[in-house]
Amino acid sequence: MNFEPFLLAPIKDHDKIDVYQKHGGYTALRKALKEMSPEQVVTEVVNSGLRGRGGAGFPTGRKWQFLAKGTGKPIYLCVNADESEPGTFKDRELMLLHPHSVIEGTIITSYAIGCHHAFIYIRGEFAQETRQLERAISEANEKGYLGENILGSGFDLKITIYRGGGAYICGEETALMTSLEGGKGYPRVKPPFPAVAGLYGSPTIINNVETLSNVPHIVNKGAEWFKSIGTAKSTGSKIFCVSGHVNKPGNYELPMGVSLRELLYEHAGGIRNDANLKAVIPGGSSVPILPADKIDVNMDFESLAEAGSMLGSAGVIVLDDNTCIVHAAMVISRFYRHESCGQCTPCRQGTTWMYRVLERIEHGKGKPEDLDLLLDICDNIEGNTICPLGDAAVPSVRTSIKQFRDEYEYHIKNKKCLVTLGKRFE
Amino acid sequence: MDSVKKIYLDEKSLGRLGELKKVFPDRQSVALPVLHVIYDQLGYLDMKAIEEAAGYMEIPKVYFEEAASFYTMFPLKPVGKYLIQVCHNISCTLMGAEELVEYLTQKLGIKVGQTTGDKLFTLVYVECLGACGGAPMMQINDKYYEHLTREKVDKILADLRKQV
Amino acid sequence: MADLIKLTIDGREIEVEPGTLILEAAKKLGIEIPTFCYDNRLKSVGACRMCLVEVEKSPKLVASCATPVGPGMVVKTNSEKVIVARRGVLEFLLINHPLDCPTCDKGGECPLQNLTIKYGPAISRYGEDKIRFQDDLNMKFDDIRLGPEIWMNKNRCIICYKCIRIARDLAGGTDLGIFQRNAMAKVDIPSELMYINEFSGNTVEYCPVGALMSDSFRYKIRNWLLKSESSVSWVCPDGANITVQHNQGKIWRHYSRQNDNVEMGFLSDKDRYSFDITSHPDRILQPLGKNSGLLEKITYDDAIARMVHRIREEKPENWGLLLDTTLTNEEAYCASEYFGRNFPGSAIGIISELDIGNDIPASSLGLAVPMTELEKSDLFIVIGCDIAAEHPILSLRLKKALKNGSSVYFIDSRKMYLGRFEVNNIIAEYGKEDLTLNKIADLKNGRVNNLPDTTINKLNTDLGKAKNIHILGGYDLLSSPIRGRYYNAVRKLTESLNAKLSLLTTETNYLGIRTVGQPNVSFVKLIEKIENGEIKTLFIAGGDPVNVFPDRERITKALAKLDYLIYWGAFRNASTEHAALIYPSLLPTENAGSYLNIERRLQLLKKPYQHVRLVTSLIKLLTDIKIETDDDLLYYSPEEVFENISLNISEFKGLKYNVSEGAILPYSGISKLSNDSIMETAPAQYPFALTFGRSVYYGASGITEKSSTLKKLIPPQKLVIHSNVAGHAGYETGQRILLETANGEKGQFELVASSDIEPGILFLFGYSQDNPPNKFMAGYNTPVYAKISKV
Repeated sequence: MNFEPFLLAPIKDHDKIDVYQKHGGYTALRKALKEMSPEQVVTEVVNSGLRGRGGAGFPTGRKWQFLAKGTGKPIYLCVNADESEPGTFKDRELMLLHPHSVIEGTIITSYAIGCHHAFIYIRGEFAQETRQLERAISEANEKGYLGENILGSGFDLKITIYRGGGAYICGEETALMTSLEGGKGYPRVKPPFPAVAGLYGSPTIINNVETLSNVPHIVNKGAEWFKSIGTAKSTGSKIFCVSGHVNKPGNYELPMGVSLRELLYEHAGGIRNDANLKAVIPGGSSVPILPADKIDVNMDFESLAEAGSMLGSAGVIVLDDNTCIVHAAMVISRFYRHESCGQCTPCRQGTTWMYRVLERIEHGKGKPEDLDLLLDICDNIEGNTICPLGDAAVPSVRTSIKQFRDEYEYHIKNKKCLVTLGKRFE
Repeated sequence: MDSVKKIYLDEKSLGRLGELKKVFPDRQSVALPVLHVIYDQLGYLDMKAIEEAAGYMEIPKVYFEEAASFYTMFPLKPVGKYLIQVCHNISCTLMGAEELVEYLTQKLGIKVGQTTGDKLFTLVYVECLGACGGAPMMQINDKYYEHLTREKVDKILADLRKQV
Repeated sequence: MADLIKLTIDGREIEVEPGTLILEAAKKLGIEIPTFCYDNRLKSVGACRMCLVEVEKSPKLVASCATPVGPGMVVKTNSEKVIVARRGVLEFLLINHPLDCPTCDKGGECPLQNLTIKYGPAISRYGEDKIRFQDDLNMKFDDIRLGPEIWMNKNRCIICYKCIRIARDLAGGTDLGIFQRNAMAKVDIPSELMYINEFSGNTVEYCPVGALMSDSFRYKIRNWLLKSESSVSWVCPDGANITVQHNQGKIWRHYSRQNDNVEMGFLSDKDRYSFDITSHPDRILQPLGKNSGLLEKITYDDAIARMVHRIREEKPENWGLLLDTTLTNEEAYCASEYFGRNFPGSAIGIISELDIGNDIPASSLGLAVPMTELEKSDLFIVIGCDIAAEHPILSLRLKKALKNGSSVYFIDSRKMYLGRFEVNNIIAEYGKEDLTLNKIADLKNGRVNNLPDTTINKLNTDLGKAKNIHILGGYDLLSSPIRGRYYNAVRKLTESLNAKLSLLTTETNYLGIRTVGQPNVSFVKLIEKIENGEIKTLFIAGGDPVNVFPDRERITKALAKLDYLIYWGAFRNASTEHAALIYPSLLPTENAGSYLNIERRLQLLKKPYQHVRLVTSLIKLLTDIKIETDDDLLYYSPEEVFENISLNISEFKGLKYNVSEGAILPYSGISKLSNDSIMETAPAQYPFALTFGRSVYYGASGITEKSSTLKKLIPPQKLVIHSNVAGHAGYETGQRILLETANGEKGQFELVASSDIEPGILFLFGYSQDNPPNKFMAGYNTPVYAKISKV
C-alpha cells in the first residue's frame, strides 16, 4: 500500500518551527481560525471518525460534543502526555521530534471547544520531551500562535505544562485532573463526567497526544481524506509501538487495520535470533494476550475485540518461545501492584495478592490451587473498582493462565521455568 | 506564623515558587510543581524544605507530604550525584533488564537501592519509562540511555565519572 | 419543585427526589446495604466498594453510595453477583488485616467484624505474609501516637477516608493525610506535627475498625461491658447530645447520640473527653465539716444537723447563694426557691465569667434561631467571639455554610480562624470596636465609599448580595470595657442590615440558670455584700467561683472574710479553702435533670447509675434539710421540680418534663442599653491592654482542669505581641518575658510575635496552674493595662 506517514513524518528538524512551517505547519490553525467556526471544527472531527488514541478509543468529536454548555464556568483542555502504559512509546516520539504538531493540535482543539487555558500533563520522567514542548510553546508564542488575539481572530489561549511525578494512574483521566488540582492522583467516581464537571469543577476535555496530533491534518485535508485511511469504524492511521523480541523495535505509523502478521514480519523485521513467536500483547500490558496462532488479525478496534483482545494504546509487545510466561505475568503484575493508587479495596489488595502469588510460583513455591485462586481474584477485581486500573491488571494474568495453563502447571510441579530467556543482555 | 526562615531553598527556587503562584486558577495546584522545584535544587525531597516551601506558598504542608509519598519519581532521602533508574517492566525484561541490573550491581559494587561509597551513583528499579523500543534502557538523572549493551554501559559510567 | 424519580429496588417501587443516592433510596424501603466508607453527613467517596449493587443495563456493578438514582432504574441488592462481590471485597479487606481482635479496642462494636459475619468468607485463602507497618522495630505493638489523645495502628486501617473527611472537610484541619500508594497507603500525620483538633475524637468513634484509638479508652475496658444512658454535654453551652457509657458506677466513655438538630453526631473533644472528671481520684465522697479548725469527714446526719444549726443561728438577710452554671434547671430552681422562701432578703447570684446585667433578659440571649436555621445564613458577622473555641458545635454549622458559599467575617481585636476555611478578619482597635461597627453600618446606608481597607470593601460587596445575615456576639463583646457602646453599636448594625442577632453566652446552662434561678444580684454585687459584711453565710452550689470571678485576689479575700461557707460540689478546690461544711455532689452526667442550651432548647440528662449513698443531688440534699426544718415543700425527683418551674416561671409555661424535650424557649430580641463612658486611655507606664484567649479550659468553672484527658489538649500558655511592636522593642518569638499589670499582678510567659493582633494589645492564651487568667483580671468589663519587660 502507498501509505505516507503524516504523524511521524520523516522530516529532519521537524521540531523547529521554521522547518515545521515550511512543510505546512500551522496552516491548519490559520484555516480553523479564519475560515471555520468552532462548531465546524468539531463537526469535521466528528465526521472524520477519529477515535481516542490513548487506549479507550472513544470517538473524539463525540466527546467534545458532551461538553456542558452555558455553565458560566471556563472550559479546560488537558492533553494527556502521561504515557506510562508498558509497551507504549509513541507520544514520546511525537513530543521529541514533532512537538509543534502537538501544540498546533492543542490550539485548534482549544479553539473548537472554547478553552482558553490548556494544560499539558506530561509524565515527570520525560524531562527532555518537556523541554522540547516548552521550546515549541515559546516559538509558537513568538509567532503569535499563542497568547491573546491569536492571528487576529480574537481567540486567546495559554498553555501550561504540568509535570507528573511518576504515577501510571495519572494517565487515567479523572486521576489526571485530581493530580492537576494539587494532590495525589486519585481517580474519581463517575458520574459526574469530566465533560460536565472536571478540572476545578469545570467542563473539561482530556485527549491523548496522538489524538490531538491528528487534528491539524483533519482540518487541513478534511474528514473524507481521514476516512479514506484505515477501516470503516477505525479511521485514520495509528502509531504502532513494537517492542520485545523483534528485529526492528520502534514506532510504525500505519493505516488502521493493518494485519498484525504484516506489522511484525514485514515492518518490524520478524522475530529476532530466528526464534519462534510465542505470544503477542497487542495493546499495551493491559490487554488480553494473543497466542502465536492468533496473529492473523487486523490491528483495529473492532477486529481485535472480536479476536478476544483490545487495540488499547497499540503497544505491541512480542514474546518469543524462549520466554517463561509465568515470569512475564509476574513482571506485569508487579507493575500494577506498584501503580495501584490504593483508594479502593479490590485493586489495592488484589493487585498485591496476585503479584505475591505469581512471585511465589515463579520462585518455585507454587501450589496447584494457586491457579484457580488467581482466576478467582481476577473475577473479584474486575468490574468492582473505581477506575480501569483494576480491570487492567486482570487480562495478563487471566489470559496467560487460560492459554498457557500447562506451562504454569509445569512450573508449579517442577519448581522451575519450562523455558528460560537465556542470555539477552549483550 | 509570619516570616518563614528560608534556609533550605535557594534564591532560584524561591523565584520559581513565586512564579508558580500566578499560574494556576486554583492555588492548590502548585503541590506537584513545588515538589519538582525542590527536587531540581536538592536532588531529593527534604521534609524541611517542603515545610519551608509550604510556608512560602501558604498551603498546609500535609498536601505536599502526601504528594511526596505518593509520586515515586522523587527520592525521599539524599541520593548519589547520578541516580540510575533501570526499567524492569515487561519489554525491558524481555530484552534482558535483569541481567543489565546484575551487571550494574557488579560494576558499581552496590545492591539495588544503595548508593556507592563515593556518593556518585545510586541504583534503583523503576517501571516503564516510555522507551520500550530501546529496551533494555535506563534513565540517569534527566537523560535516557537506550539499546544498552555491556560496552555501552561501561562507556556511560566512565563518561559520567570523568565529568566529576 | 422537580419531579420525583421512580425506580425499582429488589422488586419494590419507590419515588424519590432527584439527586438521592441509590443507597439512601434503598434505606427508605428498609433495605440496608452494607458499607464502610459511607456516611450521610460526609461527602461520598465510593472507596470501600462494599455497597456495590446490580443495576440493570449497567455492565459493571455500581457503587450505590456514590451514584444518584436514575429514572426507571432497576436495582438488585441481593443478587448472586452482588453476594459474590461483597464476599470478594471483604476477603480483600481481611487479607492484610491483622488478627488483633482479642486485643483490639473495637472488637464488639466493629463494623468489619459484623459485616464479615454477615457477608464475608468464613475461611482465609491468603497464604502470604501480611503487610506490617512497624515504625519502631523495638516495640511489640504497632500502635503509634498521632497526637496527645489519638493513637493509630496502621495495620488495621482499611482506607475508608472517614477520619480524613472528618479532620479535613468537617473540621477544616490539615493534620491528617493518607501517605504512600497501593497496599502501603495508610493514614498518618505530616512530619513533626501532632493531631490536635477540637473534633479529633470523632475520628476514633467513626473509624470502622480499631485503627484509631483514644488514649483515654485504649485497653481500659471491653465495650460490651458498658451500659448506655442518654445525657447532654455539661461542659459546653452548645448542648451536644451524648451517650454516657458506664460500668460498675464509673463512666468510661462519652459517645455520640445523633441529634441532627444540635451536634449532628459530632461531639467536640471537650464534650467527649470530659467523661473522666466524674472518676477523678480527688472526688469528695463523704461530707466534711470543720472540727477545731480542721476539715474532717463527718456523717451525713451530722452534716445536715450543722446546716440546720446554721439556719437557726444566722439571720435570713445575711445569707447568700451562688449557683454554678453546670447545675440542672431543677437543682437551680430548687435552691433558689428554698432561699427565696426561707431567707427573705438573701442574695442569690450566678457564678459566671460574664456580667450581662439585668437590663438584658435571659430570653434575649443565645441563638435567635435554631442551629438548623443558622447554617442557612449566607453572611455571618461574628463580633468579639472566638466561635471555634467557645462554640465548637456552632462553628460546625458555620463551616457547613461556608462550604455552601456563605461568607464569614470576624470583627475583634485579633484574627480568628475556622480551621482552613476561608474567613475574613477585620481587626478593630480594642476599646474602640464601636467605631468599626459604625463604619460598617454606614456602608450599608451608602454613606462611605472607596474605603482603603480591602476587607471592608469586600464586606460591602457581600452585604449587597446577602439575603440572610446573621450577627453573632461572644465573650469579647460581652466582657468588653465599653459594654454599652459596643452593644448599642451591634444593635445599630443589626437594625441597619436587617439582620438577626445572637448574643452567645459561654457557660453550660447559663441560660437555664438565669431563667429559673431568678438571681436577685449579680456575682460582683454579691461579692461586694460579702465585703461590707451584709452576707455572712454563703452557700456555693457547685463550681469553683474563685476560678471564675474576674479578679482572683478579690474573691479569695472575700471568701476568707465569711463567717460560714457551705459548699455543695464534687471537688475540693480554691473556693473550698475556707469552707466550714462540704457536701459531696453528683456531677451532671450522673444526675437527672434538664438543661437549656445556647438555642434555649430544653434537653434532658438521664441518670445512668446510682452513686454511693452520701453523694447526692442538690434536690435530695435540700429535701433532707427541709425535713429537719419543717419546710413541707419537698421534692423527690426532678420531674416534680419541673412541674413547679412550668407553673411559676413564665418562659417555661406549658412545658412538661419528658414531652417537651427539644422545645426551644422563645427569643425576645435585644433591648437598648445606656451608653457607657469611653474606655480611658492606658496609663503611660502600662501601655498595653491585656486580652484573654479561650480554650477547652473555659466554660464550666474550669472544672475541665480535672480531666486528665482534656488537660492534654490545652495549649501551653503564651503571650502574643504585635510583630512591629516586638521588632521595635527587640523582642523575639520564644523569648521569656515578664508581664506586669497595673493592678499589681506579675507573671512570666513565652512570647509570640504575630501580626494577627491589634498593635495596642497583648493577648494571653492557653492555661497553666501558676497563671490562671483571672489572676490578672481587674473585674467585669474592666480593662487590664500591662507592660512587659525582659526577664
